[in-house]
Amino acid sequence: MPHRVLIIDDEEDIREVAALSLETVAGWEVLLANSGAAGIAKANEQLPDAILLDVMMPGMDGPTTFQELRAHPKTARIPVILLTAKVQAADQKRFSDLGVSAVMFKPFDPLTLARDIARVLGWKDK
Amino acid sequence: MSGYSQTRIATWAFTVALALSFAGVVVLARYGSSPVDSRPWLFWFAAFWTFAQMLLIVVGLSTFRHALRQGQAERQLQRVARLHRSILDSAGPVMIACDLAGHISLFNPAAERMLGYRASEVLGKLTAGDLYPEGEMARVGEQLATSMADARTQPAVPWNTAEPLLPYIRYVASFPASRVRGFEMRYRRRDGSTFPAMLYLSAVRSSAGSIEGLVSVAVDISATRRAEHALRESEERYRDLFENSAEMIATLSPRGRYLYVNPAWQVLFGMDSAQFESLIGFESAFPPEVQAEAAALFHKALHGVRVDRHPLRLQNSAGETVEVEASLSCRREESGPVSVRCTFREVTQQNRRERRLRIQLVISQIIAEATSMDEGLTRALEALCGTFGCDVAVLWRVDEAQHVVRPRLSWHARGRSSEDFLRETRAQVFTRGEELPGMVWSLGKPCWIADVRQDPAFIRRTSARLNGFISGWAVPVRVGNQVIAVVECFLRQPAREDPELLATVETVCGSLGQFMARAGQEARVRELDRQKAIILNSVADGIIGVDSAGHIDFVNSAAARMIERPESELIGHSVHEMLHPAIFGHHCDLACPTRQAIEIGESTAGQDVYYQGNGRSFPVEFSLMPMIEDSAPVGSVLSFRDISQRYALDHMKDEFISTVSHELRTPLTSIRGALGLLSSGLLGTVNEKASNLLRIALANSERLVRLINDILDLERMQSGRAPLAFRRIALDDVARQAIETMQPVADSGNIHLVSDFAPVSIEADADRLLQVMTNLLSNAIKFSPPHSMVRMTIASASGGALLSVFDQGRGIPSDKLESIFDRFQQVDASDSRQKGGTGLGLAICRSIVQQHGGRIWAEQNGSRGSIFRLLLPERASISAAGAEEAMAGRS
Repeated sequence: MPHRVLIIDDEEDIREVAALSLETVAGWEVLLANSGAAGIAKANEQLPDAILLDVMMPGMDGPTTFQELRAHPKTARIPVILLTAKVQAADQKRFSDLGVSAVMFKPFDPLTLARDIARVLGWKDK
Repeated sequence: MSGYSQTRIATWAFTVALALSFAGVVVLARYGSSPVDSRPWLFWFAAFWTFAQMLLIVVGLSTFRHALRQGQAERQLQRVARLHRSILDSAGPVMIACDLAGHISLFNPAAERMLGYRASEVLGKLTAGDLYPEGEMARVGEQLATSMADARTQPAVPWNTAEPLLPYIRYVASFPASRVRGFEMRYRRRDGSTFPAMLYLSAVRSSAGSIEGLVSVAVDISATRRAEHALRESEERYRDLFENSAEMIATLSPRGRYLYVNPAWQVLFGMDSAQFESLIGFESAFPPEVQAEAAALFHKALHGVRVDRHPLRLQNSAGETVEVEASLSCRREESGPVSVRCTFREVTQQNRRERRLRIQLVISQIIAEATSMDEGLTRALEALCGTFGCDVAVLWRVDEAQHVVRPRLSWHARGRSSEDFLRETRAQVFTRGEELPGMVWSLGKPCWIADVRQDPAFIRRTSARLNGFISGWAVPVRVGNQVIAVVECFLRQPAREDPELLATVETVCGSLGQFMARAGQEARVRELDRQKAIILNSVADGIIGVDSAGHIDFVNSAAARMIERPESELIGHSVHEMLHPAIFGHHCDLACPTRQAIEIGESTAGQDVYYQGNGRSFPVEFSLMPMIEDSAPVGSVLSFRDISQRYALDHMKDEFISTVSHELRTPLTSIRGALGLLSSGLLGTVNEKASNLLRIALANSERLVRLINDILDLERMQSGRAPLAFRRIALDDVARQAIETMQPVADSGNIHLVSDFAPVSIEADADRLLQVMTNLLSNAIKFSPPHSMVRMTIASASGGALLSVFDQGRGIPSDKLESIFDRFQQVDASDSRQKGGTGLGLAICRSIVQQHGGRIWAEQNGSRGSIFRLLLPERASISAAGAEEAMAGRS
């Protein structure tokens, strides 16, 4: 059974490239959402195996979305990985303090993205 | 006929009468019965008997009466004799009587006491001569004879007078009995000692009036003599005092006639005692101008008022002015004033000294109180004029540079105008030796002009004459040996040259010179102070001076402003307490950087947060510099600036960088992602040319990413926002990690990676050093031709570590060995960018190494290749300078 990953990012291109990377390289099923709210809705609806969450989004940003997800029991247990272009040390600390499973940086290597996710989340298959 | 013999006669007479009576009775009894005519002899017997009886009775009675009377007279005589005896016995004076031969017939108890003889030893045994010292009798006898020399006749002396007594007998003979003259004579005691006595000699005369002897009454005058001697001596002493006294003493009668003048008095007035005695009136000895005053003083004293130390000024006989203190008093007796004593004490010198001291004191006070040099000098000129009776004074200042002396300021007395003279003076400038100031300057000595109107060298004589000035003098004002000024004074009366005055003023001018020098120095100091204050208060940084006890002793205006406390509140308080007040809940422990810096007292820099008076805090960058004076710390200077703006700027910069970074990364994510997928061939194959283009695009997008990372990295390091985390690490372990990371890259380039690590432990940030090593290895590999060797070594070096990376690449020209560590520098335009370098790698390496307190440099590797070396200290020591350099990105 392929893993189902929800990608929440307001940039369409990034959604497309990330989705293409996970589908092509790892063969995973990818769900997309273009905002925090949409992402929460989708997560509740689809209950993905993992969520790849952007930080800088208009409206609800990544951390807020993450709080929301954690607040609801349905989505609370879904592992969340922050994918961000904010690489400053202060930011990193802030993010990791949130309690996410991992923080990954943009730009990512599309060929290793799936592998990195799997490693972080402890998934055995590629 | 003595009473005794008369009594005997009387007794005989009565006895005979008694016998006759008996005889008569017998006859009568025998022949009584016979008649008278038978025996006629009975008649004659009876008649005789009767006559005899009557005679005898008369004789007896008269003799008896005589005897009685004589007895009475004798008793009377005896009484008188007893009286005389008791007088003699109790009398104090010595009473000695002798006869004409000199035998002593009377020696009273006083004589016994005085002379030490018992009367019994003397009477009849000694002569008068024994009682006197050898030769005394003769001597006094001669004296008496001499004193009688003018007597008209020599009196007759009894023939049996002893020779030694002759003059004495003559002496007493020459005077009536009632006249007794005394004379001095020495007596000799039994023990041989002698004493002087006053002797009263008189004659013992017979009833006929002839001299039968001498009686002397003598009194011991040794005590009296001693007293007289003492009196004479004391009189002599007093006389001596008066005669030799430096004080002038005179005694006058109540009428004002001179009774006595001592030599000093005579000298003062130039007259001898005879001339004084001829004067009428006390005051007539004095010069006319003081006579009235002198007369008044005498008058006062005469009426019982004691004149004590009245100052008087007069000209003595030599024409010099002397100042005296006059004291007069009157000796009175019941009858009225007896004499007036007058004493003068010369105080000319003393007064001069006092004047000198006084003017010095006045000038010292003026100098001490002066608020400005001009004010002090003007007041000093005023004081000089006042003391010495001058009407105008001018101070000239020497201008060494221009070789002239110029008038600086003046003072003039009120009253008659000095304007013309002063105006002319102010217009003058004199050279050395010219006119009065110039001369004084040139000679270095005071000068006196008796008449300025006549002196041809005195240029200003016309205006001087106009304003009535007659004499003048000038005195140099010196500092050390140099004349810096000249003080001139002028008078409207003729004054003789007074060396004493000039000496006094010269002394005073010494003080003025010091004052002027000091004022000049003080002015300079004040000017420097002012400049310092201006500078310190103009800088934007806050500057606080801290003393050795950590208390604030100076605050510039910027500091006071930033801390928002007034200077008065800050001075004297502990600097740490002012900057980190405990009341705002900010309790500093020993780690407080400011506190540490102040306590350690070493040159330190850092950042901290200070508090304003109202509790608001602001971030600061501070630096503390100790102040060393004579190799001892005397405090420190804390300078700080408010970096809130910089923080804000930094914050803005951070924001900007963060934003830019984010914004750049976002599209790059898509680009890289897309290119990566395309390049992988997973989405379908592309032709070779397309594949090449994709590869190029992907490589450059990756390079772009790296560039953004590097820029961020370098920026963070240089702004201090990426502080290093130091801990003890094994450098060789980190190196091994680096080798491991770069191994695949080396392999893919066919580079042989060699390592040779000594185990070295240092204090360092492992991650950052890994970054450096990786970078160096990456460069080395990049620039090495295939099949060549890249070697990394670690060796221990002076406590730290020396890391070296050798490559056999194209090498670095010697003129680029320094510049390659700068940003975006490449050896040449060709290689590194081609090989995907960002141009920041070595700059970042250098920054990291410098933050470790180490050094990084490049060398040429023999004929081929390069060596990059790192020297890292064992203990990461960040000095302020090192950190600064790291931040500035310079080596």
